[in-house]
Amino acid sequence: MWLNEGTPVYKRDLILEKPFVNTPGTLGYCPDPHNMPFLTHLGAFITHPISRRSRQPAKNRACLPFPGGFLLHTGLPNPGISRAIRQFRRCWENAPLPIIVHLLAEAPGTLAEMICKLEGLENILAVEIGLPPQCDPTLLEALMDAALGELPVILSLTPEQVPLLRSTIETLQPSAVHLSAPR
Amino acid sequence: MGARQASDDRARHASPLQTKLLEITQIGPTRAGILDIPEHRWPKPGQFLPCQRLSDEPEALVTPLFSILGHEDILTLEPIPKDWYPGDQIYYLAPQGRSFQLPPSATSVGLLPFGVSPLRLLTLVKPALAQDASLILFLEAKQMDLFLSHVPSPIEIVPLSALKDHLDWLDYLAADVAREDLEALSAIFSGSTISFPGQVLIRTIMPCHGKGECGVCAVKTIKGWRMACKDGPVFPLREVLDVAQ
Repeated sequence: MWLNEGTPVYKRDLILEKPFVNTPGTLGYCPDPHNMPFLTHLGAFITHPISRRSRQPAKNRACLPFPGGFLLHTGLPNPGISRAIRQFRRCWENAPLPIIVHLLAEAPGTLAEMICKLEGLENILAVEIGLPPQCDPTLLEALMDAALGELPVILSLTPEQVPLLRSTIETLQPSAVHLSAPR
Repeated sequence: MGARQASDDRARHASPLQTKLLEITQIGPTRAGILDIPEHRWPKPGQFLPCQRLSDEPEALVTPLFSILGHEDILTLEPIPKDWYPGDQIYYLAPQGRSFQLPPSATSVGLLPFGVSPLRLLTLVKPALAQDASLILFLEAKQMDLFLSHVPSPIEIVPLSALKDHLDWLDYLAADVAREDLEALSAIFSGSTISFPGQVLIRTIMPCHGKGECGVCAVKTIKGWRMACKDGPVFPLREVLDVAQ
C-alpha cells in the first residue's frame, strides 16, 4: 500500500516503502546487510517460516532442480517461536528494514499464542500466516480471527488455494495476500 | 578503522567475482576443471567455492566446487557441471565453510574416502607431508583402478577392510562421505575406540550456501542439527558418528 495524503492510515495498515519483498524461506531469519547487498531494494524482510514448537528437518530432505527453478523439500526446520525470538530479537530490532515474521499456522489457539509473543517486539512490521495445505474456509476464518491483534496480517497461500478461499478472504479483508509456493 | 576494514572485506566477499574456466579434465567418474583464480582466494581442503556460470539464469542454483588433488600452482575443482565448457565465464564467491584442520602434531595421517572419490582428500597430502607426516589412504578395491595413478607416491594405500587394524597407528583421520552413507560409516567404527582427532567432509546438496538457512543440508550431530553449508561441510568425526541422519 502506498502512502496517499488523501487516504487515512490505520494501525493495521501495511505500509511498504519499496514494493518488493523476499519469499519466506529464501533468506533465513534475519537480514544480513554484509551478505545481502540487495536488501536496499526490499520494502521488508520476510523471515524463514517459524512454528510454535521446533521442527526437525525432514528425513527425506531433497532439492530437485528443474529448468527455471528448483523444488525444495526440507520439512521447514526451525527453532520454534520462543527460541527464534530469543535468538533473533536483537537482530530484528537492529535490522535496516522492517521485518515480517512468517508463521506456520497449525491451529487457531497456537497461532494466537505466537502472535502475542511477537507483538511487543520492535521493528516487526507484520505477521504473515502460512496456511496449511488442507485449509478450508472455516479454518481460515478461525485462523484470521486468532491472528487479529496489533499487527497487520498477511495471508500466504498457494495459487491452488485461491479458488476455494477467495470469497472468505474478500470477507475477512487481511492486510495483504502473498501468493507463494506450496509448503 | 579495523572494524570498518573488516566490514569492507565482508562486503567484498559477498560480491561475486568473475573468472574463466580454463580446462576440463576427467578423472575416473569425476569431471574436474581448472579455474583462473588468484591463490589467496583458493578454497582450503574441505571448503567450497560457490560458483555460477555467467550465462545461466541469475535465479539458478549455485554450484559448490571443491578443490581436489592439491597440485602446486593449479587450482583444480570438482564437480564441474556437464554443460560447462572451457572458456565459459564463471562467477564465484569467496570460499565458504569449515575446512579440514590438520593438527600440527599429527605424524600419522589417515585419509578415508568412503564410497566417494579420494580426490578431495588428496588436497591434504601437501600440508601433511610439509609436517613430515606419514599418510595412509584407505581405498575400496573398486576405487583402486580408477584413482591409483593420481595418488602421490609417498602415500601408502591400504584396503578399506584393514581400517580397524590401523586405528591405533593414526594421529588424525580425514574422511569424506555422502550424507546418506553416514550410518554405514558409523557402522565401520562400531566397537572401536577412536582415540585420535578426526574430521569428516559430508557431501550433501547446499542450494542456498548458507544464505537461506533452508535446512536441506542439515546434519544431525551430538550437538543437535547443524547446517553443512554454515557449520560444515567438515565436521568433527566424533560429533556425527552414530547419530548422523
